[in-house]
Amino acid sequence: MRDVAIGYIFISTAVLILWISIVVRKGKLKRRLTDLKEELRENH
Amino acid sequence: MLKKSLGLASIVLMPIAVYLIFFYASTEKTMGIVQKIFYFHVPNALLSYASAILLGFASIMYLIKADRAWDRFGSVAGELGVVFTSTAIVSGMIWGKPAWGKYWVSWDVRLNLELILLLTFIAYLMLRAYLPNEEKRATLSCVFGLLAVLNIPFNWLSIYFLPTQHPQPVVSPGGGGLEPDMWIAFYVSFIAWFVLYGYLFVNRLEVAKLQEEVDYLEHKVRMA
Repeated sequence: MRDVAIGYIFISTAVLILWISIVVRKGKLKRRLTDLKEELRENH
Repeated sequence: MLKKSLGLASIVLMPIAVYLIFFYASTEKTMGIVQKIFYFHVPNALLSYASAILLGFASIMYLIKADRAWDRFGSVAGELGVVFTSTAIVSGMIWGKPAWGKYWVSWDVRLNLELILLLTFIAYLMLRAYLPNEEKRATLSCVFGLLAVLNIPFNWLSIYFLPTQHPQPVVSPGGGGLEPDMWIAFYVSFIAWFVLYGYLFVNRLEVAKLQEEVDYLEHKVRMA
């Protein structure tokens, strides 16, 4: 049972880390995109 | 819409799959509880193949059309390939210890081909990280994309024709088969994993697109 639990926890953690990294990166990029668009508007 | 549907479907299907695996499907007589790793191991291994096929397809399309959208598509497949090949290998090792007495059998062709697939995905991503020129990066990384997809037929057929300790196929042609309750748990788990993969793929693709937009605007701001 211990082996199975370790396996399932490992797989779930790997996928969870991937999902969190995607969400965090998306948030950061969206903010950066807004800043850049504003910067460009100010420059013009 | 597609993203939301896939996300919702994953949230619903995953707990159902876990319930079916642990509380519905009967425990296999010879292997006991450790056999339950099979319900996650097989879909993850198939998703590692799917990643390689998507990466290979994207590489070929990029070489034909020189469209950066295909390069983006390939990079996402490569990234997901690292995750799902790793989970397939680790879950296989966890199963291997009680079944074979050791985590890794060095001469086993199937195991080594899966490891080579993981290394190919990693090499693909490393190459992309080190090459600053976008066009050069996209073209050269296609080589690794094609190497990844070349691995798949050998990997798939290795248990039929080459020396391996890996169990003979259960779900593919010529397989030993499963009990009906095991089939249900397997199919639900299989669908849940493929839906989750689709959800992650669509989201990661969106991130890649955003990154390109940011890079373009940063360049524009510098030039202004």
